[in-house]
Amino acid sequence: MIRALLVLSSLWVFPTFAQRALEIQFDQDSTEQGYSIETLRFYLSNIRFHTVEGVWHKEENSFNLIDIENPSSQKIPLPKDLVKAKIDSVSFLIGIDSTTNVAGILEGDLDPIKGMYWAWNSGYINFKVEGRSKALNTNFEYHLGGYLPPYASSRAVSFSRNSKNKRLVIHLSLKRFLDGIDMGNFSEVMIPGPKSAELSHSLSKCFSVE
Amino acid sequence: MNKALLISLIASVVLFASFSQGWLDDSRQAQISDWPEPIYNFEQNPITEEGFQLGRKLFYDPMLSRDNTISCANCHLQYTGFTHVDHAVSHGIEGRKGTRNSPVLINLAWNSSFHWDGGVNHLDVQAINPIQHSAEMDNSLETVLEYVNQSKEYRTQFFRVYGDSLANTQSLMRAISQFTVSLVSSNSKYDQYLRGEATFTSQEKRGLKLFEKHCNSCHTAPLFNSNEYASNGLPLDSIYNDLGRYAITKVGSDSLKFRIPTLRNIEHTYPYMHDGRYKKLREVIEYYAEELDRSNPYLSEQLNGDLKLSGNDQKDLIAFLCTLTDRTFLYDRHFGFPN
Ligand code: HEC
Ligand code: HEC
Repeated sequence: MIRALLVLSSLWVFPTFAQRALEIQFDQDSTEQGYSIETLRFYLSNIRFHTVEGVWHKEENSFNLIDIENPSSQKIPLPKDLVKAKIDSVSFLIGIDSTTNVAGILEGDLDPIKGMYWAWNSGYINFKVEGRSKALNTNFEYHLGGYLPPYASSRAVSFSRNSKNKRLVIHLSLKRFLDGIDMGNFSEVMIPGPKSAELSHSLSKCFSVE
Repeated sequence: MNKALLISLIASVVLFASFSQGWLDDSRQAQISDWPEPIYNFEQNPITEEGFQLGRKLFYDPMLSRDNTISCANCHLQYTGFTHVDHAVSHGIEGRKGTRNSPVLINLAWNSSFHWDGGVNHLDVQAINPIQHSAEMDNSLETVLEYVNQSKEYRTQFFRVYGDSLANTQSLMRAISQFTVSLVSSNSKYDQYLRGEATFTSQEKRGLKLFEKHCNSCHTAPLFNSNEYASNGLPLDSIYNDLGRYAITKVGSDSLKFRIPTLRNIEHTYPYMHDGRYKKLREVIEYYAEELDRSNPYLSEQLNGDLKLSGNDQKDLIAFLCTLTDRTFLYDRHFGFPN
């Protein structure tokens, strides 16, 4: 895990926090928790920061593919004007919005070559986790996505934040997510639809912000 | 009109002209002047002659498949409206069979979705499907990009068209669309009849009347398709259990609905329907006239009415459908195998 660099201003009477990056953390100590994780990749998009001054700041082109195998993806640089601001809430979308899903062929983190794209039902896979449950002795694969109503799967979440923390961290409790799934009956979700929408909903409850 | 508005109007006309510049030759441009505006986003991918030639080369290049044997043209042949005739379902690499009939590639610029179930939402992402599909080209985007980026010719062409000699997924996909979006068929006998350049026989005229009465609500002129999903009452096929649109939306009322296909060049695009179940146009008309089951709960309402067609009516209807054949399209050298 990479620690954010702290730049404390000495000019101000009020303590100001100077986060340079948003960190994404997972509880990955899977051995103890009964799961082994092979793949964990998901999109966080439209990240917005609310400051104590009452202003929303938006990350430009905010489409971030977070990959457990790629530590640099777990650190998202903050917009420059936010470096010295005090952030009291953070909101973001887990997944990709519907407009972007129909926008044609895109680049960067949204390049379909990244393996987070369904070609036959064109659209992004918002969240992908693959691994093994030791307790059930079974492999699982959950690919969540789909933007068409009524089973749209991206979820907007918003968190207010305890201002005493110096680092800005989004936390995902994967164990809580996996524990909540009836894995014996559903060891796979690979297509958009009701199951994908339902799991996306429970996934959104497993995020928190410090 | 105020000056600023006028200027912006002129600017937008000029802009539109430059986006669509090179899209169609002057004669096709004139032929479609009364048609609805195309849906394809030309702003993202302005069509140029060089871009078209690059797309054409990719379309006819078997190196895009894993074993270098199958090009897009294998399943989309020009002389048959860019479909795969004779095969009920498409055949790809190593003779592997798909589950659906390959559709025509005609007037794609006016489609808002692609594939029989409309699962593909933009032309520029469609080609990922055949490249990756195990029963089509069975390849990966990485390998295809590696191949084009190692070819001196492709590098030169990609540089000219997209300003970067190294292709990425985006420029590769957009290059293919440069060709496929240009496949415009607008010069059938029917089009010439409307323009006063050809005359219809009395049989063709009767067929047109019948078509307007029974078919045009779904296969709507001038494109003879619509961007909607419908069930024309066909029973579920026995092999693939293909539920059509339902596979995409998982909404029960979408069961057995398919995209309403264009009937342009229909005389040459057999076999018919998503699974190629009918070999002859005559069989399709017999189906609509005699076999259609009105008690089918999935049948779309446009077909609820009385659809009585006598033997002669059926012949007239077929005579009309044959006026949708556009030889200048089917034999246009510009769309053929590149020299
Ligand atoms: C093995 C046969 C095969 C090959 C090779 C193939 N296609 Fe297709 N194509 C199909 C089939 C089958 C469909 C319909 C798929 C469906 O509905 O699920 C289709 C659909 C399409 C469509 C959508 C048309 C519409 O109106 O819905 C386009 C565009 C297209 N193909 C372009 C291409 C391009 C470009 C290539 C080469 C990169 C290609 N195809 C290679 C069989 C093939
Ligand atoms: C309710 C809308 C609707 C009406 C009305 C309708 N069709 Fe269709 N038609 C469809 C749909 C949907 C398909 C594709 C069905 C499939 O593949 O399963 C189709 C397919 C076809 C095909 C095969 C096209 C191909 O490329 O394989 C032909 C030919 C055709 N229709 C002719 C007609 C004629 C002639 C009439 C009038 C008698 C007619 N249709 C009326 C919806 C309609």
